[in-house]
Amino acid sequence: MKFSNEQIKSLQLPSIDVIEYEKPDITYRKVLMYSVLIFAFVLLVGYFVVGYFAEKLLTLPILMIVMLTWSILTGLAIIFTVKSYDNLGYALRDKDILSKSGVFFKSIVIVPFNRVQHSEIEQGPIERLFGLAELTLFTAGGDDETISGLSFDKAQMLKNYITAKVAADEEE
Amino acid sequence: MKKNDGEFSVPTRQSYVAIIMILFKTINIVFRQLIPVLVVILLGGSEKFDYILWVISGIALLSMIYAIVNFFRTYFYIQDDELVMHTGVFSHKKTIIPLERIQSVNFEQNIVHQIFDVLKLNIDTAGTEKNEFQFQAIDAQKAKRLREIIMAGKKVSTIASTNSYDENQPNKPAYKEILSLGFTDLLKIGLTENHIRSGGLIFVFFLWIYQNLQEAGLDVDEYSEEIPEWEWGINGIVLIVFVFLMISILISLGRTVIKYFDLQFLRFDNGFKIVSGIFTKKEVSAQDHKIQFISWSDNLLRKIIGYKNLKLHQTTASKANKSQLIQIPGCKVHHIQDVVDTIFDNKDINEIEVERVSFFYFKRFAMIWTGIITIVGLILLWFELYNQMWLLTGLVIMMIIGRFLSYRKIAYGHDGQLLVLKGGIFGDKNTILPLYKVQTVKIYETPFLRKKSLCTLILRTASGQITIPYLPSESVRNLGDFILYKIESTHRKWM
Repeated sequence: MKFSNEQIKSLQLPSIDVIEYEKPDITYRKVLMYSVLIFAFVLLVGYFVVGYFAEKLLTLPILMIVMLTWSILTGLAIIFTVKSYDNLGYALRDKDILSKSGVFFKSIVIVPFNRVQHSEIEQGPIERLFGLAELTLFTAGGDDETISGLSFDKAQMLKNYITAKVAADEEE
Repeated sequence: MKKNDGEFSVPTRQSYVAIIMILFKTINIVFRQLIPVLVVILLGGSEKFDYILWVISGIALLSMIYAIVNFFRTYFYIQDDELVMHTGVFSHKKTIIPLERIQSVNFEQNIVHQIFDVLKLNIDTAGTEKNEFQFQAIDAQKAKRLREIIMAGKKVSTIASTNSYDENQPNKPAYKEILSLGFTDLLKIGLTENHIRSGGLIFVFFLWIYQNLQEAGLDVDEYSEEIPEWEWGINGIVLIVFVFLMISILISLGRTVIKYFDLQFLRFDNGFKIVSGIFTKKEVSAQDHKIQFISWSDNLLRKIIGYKNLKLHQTTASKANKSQLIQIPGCKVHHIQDVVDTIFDNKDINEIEVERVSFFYFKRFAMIWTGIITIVGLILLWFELYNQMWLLTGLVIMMIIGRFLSYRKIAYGHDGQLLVLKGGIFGDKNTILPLYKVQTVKIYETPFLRKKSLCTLILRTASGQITIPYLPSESVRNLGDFILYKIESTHRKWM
């Protein structure tokens, strides 16, 4: 192999700043919201079950306060979920994949293809209902990177693309 | 193909000593689980003593059977350049590892092993599988031959007909000593350990025992009722701190001597080897290409006598496996220079320019903790808990001072190949990471950091992550771009 080591001015490097992120499938927002709602209702049902045995919990003033807090918290959780959906994104480049997430605490993770060991597509029960899937990339760096809210076909496509890239890299 | 292959081409079992080792291990595990129960029973009177005796003999008998069955069901052989292992007591498991996938073969010898001249054998593979392969006891000579065959098989198998692989072959690795520790070195290392931390650990340990006893239904407080109500005066605290410090010094002395006794840090043609231990002779090796990054650090006391603790961070097959981190205490500056020169081709690390991190790294921390201690302090004042208030305030002030010292030290830089990260509180810490060994890059911001256009850069490697906090967003992006360029354009394997 020919060895070259030309100097690279930092301005010529491809920048992770000027990337346009692709959004996850719009139905993923629904999935996220349903998950929040299901959780909230389970909590509420739990409260009533406990209240059935401890009747004090179901007296009017307490019930009012609880319902009020419950609706506010659920509302906040939904707003947060929508926000978190808005902040999700991924971007494919020739040699790596970027994925961003977080509402208050934001992060961008970049996984170079030549460090990917293998990848996996997974579907949770709610996701399966909506035909969505998530793609997880495993590297030797521990913490695995998951890209959620992809349509199943898209996930398959991404996986194939990445697998091809990994294989191409190994041949070199 | 190779003549020594013959020896292992038939199923080979462990040495009979393995039965003892497995038995000991099983009993050890069982009894560790039972300690709280036993303590309760011993303290709680002896009516049930007979019954307990039966249970114990039962456990011992079952363990014995387990050990023997385990022994007879564990064997291995080499076939077509693959190591085949049969294991499993209740179910049968056959594992095949191609020789070339084996990363290293490590030996361990405790006092029982030494008496019978056998070795414990660990086979480490490149896979991410959690379980490595372990043989409790193999005849020392046999184990060494096996290792030679495995390590040579990786090279020889490609040049098929290279015959006869005899004892005095020329490519037997030659070891060069980098460092060896004498008894006085060990004493110094033990004495200069971070005693505040180990004192804390001992405290936690006592707390753990206390809780375990309570969970086991034993009322510890009842036993201590005779002790008069303890006044938590300053004198009391000083006394407790002193006692814990003394215990901690003794324990760390003992531990250092046991762990690092007769330590030898050796260099062979493409890696390092460390042999040490008093009861358990341990031998670990690290090949250059498996080392992801190295770091060395000291503390205030060690700084004075010029000792540094060197760590070689190897790829870990599993996250839980700590033995992959190789520690060499008692290194002097020139030893470290030696290692750096060998791994990084005589690069002058000191020439790499470094930059400091943002002042907010200190300021933000100080503000948050001042806020917390003000609130907590006021609450404590309200309840008239003066001693606790002073204690906590003192702790927080120490933390803030520590953060300031650490802020003064943190600095990072790179020369296009190597990343250097400096840090430390009272002592110094240095980390050197070849950029192409990075696995993934993460850029992280909190609302506060975003407002000040700062971020934190996290570089994940196959042997843990390196965090550079509170950097200007722009330098993080530039550095990130550069590291990615380095990873994606370097064809050298990270392992």
